Amino acid sequence: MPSRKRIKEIFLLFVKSKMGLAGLILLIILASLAVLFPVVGDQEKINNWRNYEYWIDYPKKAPPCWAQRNSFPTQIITGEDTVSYEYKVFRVNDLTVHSYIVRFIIERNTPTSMNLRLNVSYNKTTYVYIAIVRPDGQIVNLTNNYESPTLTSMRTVFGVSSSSYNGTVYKNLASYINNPQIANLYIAPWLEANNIAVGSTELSVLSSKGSQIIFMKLTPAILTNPELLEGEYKLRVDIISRDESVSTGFVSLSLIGTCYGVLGTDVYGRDLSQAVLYGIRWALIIGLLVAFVSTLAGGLYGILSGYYGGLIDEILLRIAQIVYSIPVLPLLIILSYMLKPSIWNLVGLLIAFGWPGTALVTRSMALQLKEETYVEAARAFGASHGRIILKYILPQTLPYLFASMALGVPGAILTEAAVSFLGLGDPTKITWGRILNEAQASMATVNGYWWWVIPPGLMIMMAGTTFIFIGYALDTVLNPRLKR
Amino acid sequence: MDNELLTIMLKDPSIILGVNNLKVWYPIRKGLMDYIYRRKQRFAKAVDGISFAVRRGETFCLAGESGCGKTTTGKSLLGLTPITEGNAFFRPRKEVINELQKAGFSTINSDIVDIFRLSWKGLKYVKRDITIIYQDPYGSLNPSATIKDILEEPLLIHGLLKDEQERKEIIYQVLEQVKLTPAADIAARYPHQLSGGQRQRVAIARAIITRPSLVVADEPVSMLDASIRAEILELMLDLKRKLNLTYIFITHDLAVARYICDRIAIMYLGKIVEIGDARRVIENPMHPYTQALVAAIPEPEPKNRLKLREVPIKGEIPSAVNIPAGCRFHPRCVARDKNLERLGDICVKQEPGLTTLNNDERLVACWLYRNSYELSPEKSS
Amino acid sequence: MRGIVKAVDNVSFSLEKETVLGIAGESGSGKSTLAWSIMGLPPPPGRIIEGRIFIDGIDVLSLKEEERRRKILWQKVSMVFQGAINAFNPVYTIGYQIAEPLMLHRGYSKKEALQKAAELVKSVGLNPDVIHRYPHELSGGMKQRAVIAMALALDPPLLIADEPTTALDVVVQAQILNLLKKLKFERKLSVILITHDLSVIAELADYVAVMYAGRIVEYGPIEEIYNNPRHPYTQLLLSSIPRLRGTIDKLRFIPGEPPDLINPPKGCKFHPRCPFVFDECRVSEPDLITVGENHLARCWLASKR
Repeated sequence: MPSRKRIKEIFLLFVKSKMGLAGLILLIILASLAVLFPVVGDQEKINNWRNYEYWIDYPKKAPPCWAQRNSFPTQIITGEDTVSYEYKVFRVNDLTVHSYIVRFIIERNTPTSMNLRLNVSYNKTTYVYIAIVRPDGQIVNLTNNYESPTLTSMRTVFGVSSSSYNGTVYKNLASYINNPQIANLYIAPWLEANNIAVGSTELSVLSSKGSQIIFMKLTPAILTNPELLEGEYKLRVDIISRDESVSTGFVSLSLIGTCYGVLGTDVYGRDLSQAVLYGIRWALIIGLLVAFVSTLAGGLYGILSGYYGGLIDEILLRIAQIVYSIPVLPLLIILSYMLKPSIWNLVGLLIAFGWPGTALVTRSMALQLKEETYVEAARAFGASHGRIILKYILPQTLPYLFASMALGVPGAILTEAAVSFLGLGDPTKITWGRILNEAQASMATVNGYWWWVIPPGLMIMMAGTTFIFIGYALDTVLNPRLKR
Repeated sequence: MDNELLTIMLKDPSIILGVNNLKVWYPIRKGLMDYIYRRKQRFAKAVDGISFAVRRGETFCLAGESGCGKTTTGKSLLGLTPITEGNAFFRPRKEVINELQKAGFSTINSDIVDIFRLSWKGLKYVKRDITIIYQDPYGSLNPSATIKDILEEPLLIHGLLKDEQERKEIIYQVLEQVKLTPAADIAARYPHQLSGGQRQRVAIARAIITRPSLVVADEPVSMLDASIRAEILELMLDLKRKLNLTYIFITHDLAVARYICDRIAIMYLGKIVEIGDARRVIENPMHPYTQALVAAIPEPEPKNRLKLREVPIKGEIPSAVNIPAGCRFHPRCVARDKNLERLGDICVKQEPGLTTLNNDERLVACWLYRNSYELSPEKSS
Repeated sequence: MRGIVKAVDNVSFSLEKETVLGIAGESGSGKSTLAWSIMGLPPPPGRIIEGRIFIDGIDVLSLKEEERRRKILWQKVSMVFQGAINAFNPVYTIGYQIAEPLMLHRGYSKKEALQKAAELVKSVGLNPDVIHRYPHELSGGMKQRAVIAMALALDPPLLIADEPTTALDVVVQAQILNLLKKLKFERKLSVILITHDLSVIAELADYVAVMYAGRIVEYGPIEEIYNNPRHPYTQLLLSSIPRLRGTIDKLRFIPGEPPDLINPPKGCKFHPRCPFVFDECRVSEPDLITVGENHLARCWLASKR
């Protein structure tokens, strides 16, 4: 075994080469992202990947927000964002009120919908009051307020029983915001108060603009050239109940824009950045596992074949050559129909067809090494075949095996991506190939959903390049030094 | 066992090794045509029936040109070649005989074992007692191992000295015996950090570390510079005296053989053609091949450049696959041409065996010395 | 890069027709580097730093590489090098390879060139049929003869032979040396014979230059050198050779190792191993001093007597 000093020597040379350094840095980045996913990513989203309900509030087929300058960036405020909302409890007459005020920012554009979710539990009649407070102080009531003769019931707003309910309630507020009444009730008086004439034509224009109006600046030009009122808005939701022991919880307020996050969403609204990030894990696992096992197995196979020679070598060699010449991809396609499309089956198959390459090379090495005088000398002094293989032959092949292992990773990653892309991979595992497969199914390229196609592709490239850099650098460093 | 050599060995306990009729034939791969025409299996007969005995404490030389079978003979004693036929009766150290008997291997007379009849397991016991020094100081040491590792190998393989510290001490001791000092410094180095001469000393150290009885030295100084050869040869002689070794010294250089060897066997194309006291064989060669060899060797004598060197030999060495019929040397034999009347065609028809001359001092395989063809006796020596 | 090795340092000699110079030296003495450098081809990464080489009156180093190739190489000086057995291209016949320089340099037609090749091959003692054979069909000795034939294709006056017989059996070696002797007698060929084997040098050389650590340490006619060596290295070298004939003296050997040429010893390069060393030797390196008729030695001791 090479000495500690030698290993340090190799490492320093490796890092000195630009390829090696680049590869190492990339590998550290990838490995950190893979391992630290629970920290940098959102595990919950991954757990809910196949739960389509979870993604209801998300924009569908939305490009990433940095690519769409004029898009309203989708915000999803959840109950955990305690800084984004306030919660108060008070009494009015004989009613218990749980009041939530959720703050959100409007900029660049208006959301296409606002989805509200709450947990409620009550056993007596309960009402609800919803209003929007604009940055300029104006309040827009979406339901009856406290000054009305009657309050709006739970049934009217959420469609659940007003007298007793326990569970989550959901409402897309777009229907309220787009209500033409809003224009009549609010905008027109405001304009008149500012000496702007509002006639019937103006009214119909206002009505048609719907939700846009709520978020526009109150200027005389609001009819012809509306300007977005950017700033912090507040949504006030009060659950008003006769039941003193009413309990509520704020689940989420989703403001849906036409863009989302870092890498956008797919046709189901799923956050692609998480999928791409999570895919690193699978890429690394598959790549490293396949490369490691097949290189080790192939390496040993080749050494034994070359060293023993004769009939054993003939047989082993032929087997290796046959397996080597089988085209893996078509075979995998066929087998995927026959076997369970599990990712471990795929890994197994990749190993089963990946070992001959290494075997053929280590066989050549063993053939050459066994002729060396010092190997014959070891035999002369009584060394058994096992001892010679382990102590004299294997160590000399280790440099090649390491480089081969590194270079074997991209192949495995690519093959898995190809198989998954063809739809034959494991449907329960999120891999880059799988993402591409789903993109293809939704005609992503035809429809221009570039954010669905390019990031996974780039990641496959990057992961492959990382290991190729490492492998080539290892090769350069170790090879000329093979014969010291 | 009905065997003349064995009988002699049993009577004479000073004989440490008796090789009897050793043959090493390598089968030639058959091509498709050979199968179709059903040709007989052909062989490269590297060693084609040789017998010799080696006395304890002597330096016995096997000499000849490349391809004569001397290296194959040496290596066969270490189990490195297949054995087509023959025996090698060896008298190892007491411990080795005991181990063999304990392991159930049969011995002769409780002190001799036929090493050609041993399995690999049995042979391993004997490998403590027969070791080898290779010709190539560059190739015979593992380049990835330190000198300490290289010297430790035989100890580890044979399970000697279980304690690491003890092994280390022995290693340092043996390095000092071959004059590689400071031992601790040398032991930590790798082969490529040593010169050719130093590496060969390591090879010698490796060969003596298990305290063998017999050491096969395969051209140990051929690849060394002339000025270093003398030193290594002196070292080997010194070690022989100190450690009670017996050498089988393989060489193609008769001048070196004359210096270091007690007895010498000249080999040609797989057979011994002449065998006897080293100095006398070289100074007074009797076999025509030996005569040609001796005549061919240059000397540092300036007058030699003024005329052509006469070497009484014709043609080229044939391949070991097509050995000439009768006496295998006859196509090249100049002496035969001179004595054709006397010899007739026996040289072509029949292979001569080794004949004793001068009271067993010399054996020669040549029809010139057989029966009525014997030459006049040698001057008294 | 660890340092500069002066493989050949301050070597001067001259050689006449029908004369053989033997250059004797062990590994690391610089003799092979010298051989290649005479042809103008120092083995990389070596470079010729200083000095001049005249062959048949032509200043070799002043020529550009192209000219050197056209005028000098193989025509004025050719070489038989170590491992020449592997000098042949395995896919061409022997005849073609010998004919090649004839066609390139002398403009022979293929037919004429092959004819000349057959003659050459005969003159080195081979059957002219050999020109139709491929290298792998020939034995070591035959290949060595063929290499010599190839070297003589353009009839150069000077042949450099670097260890021409090292890998050969003793009988073949004698035959090759006889061949070289014949060429010397009959063709008036001059040879620079480079070898570590002093016995081989004695077979051929008229003059001997003994090299050590890149320098000539002794030079002179062969009788002088072998019968009256003045440099301790030569003396020890001669007495370290086992003799085939004559009395068996105890062999002397030279203790120590050849010097590391990156950090050579100060003063005389041989002094660490010299049994006669004294103060002067450790301090300054001696020049080549005349110690006899045409006999030079680089030694303080020799210059004293």
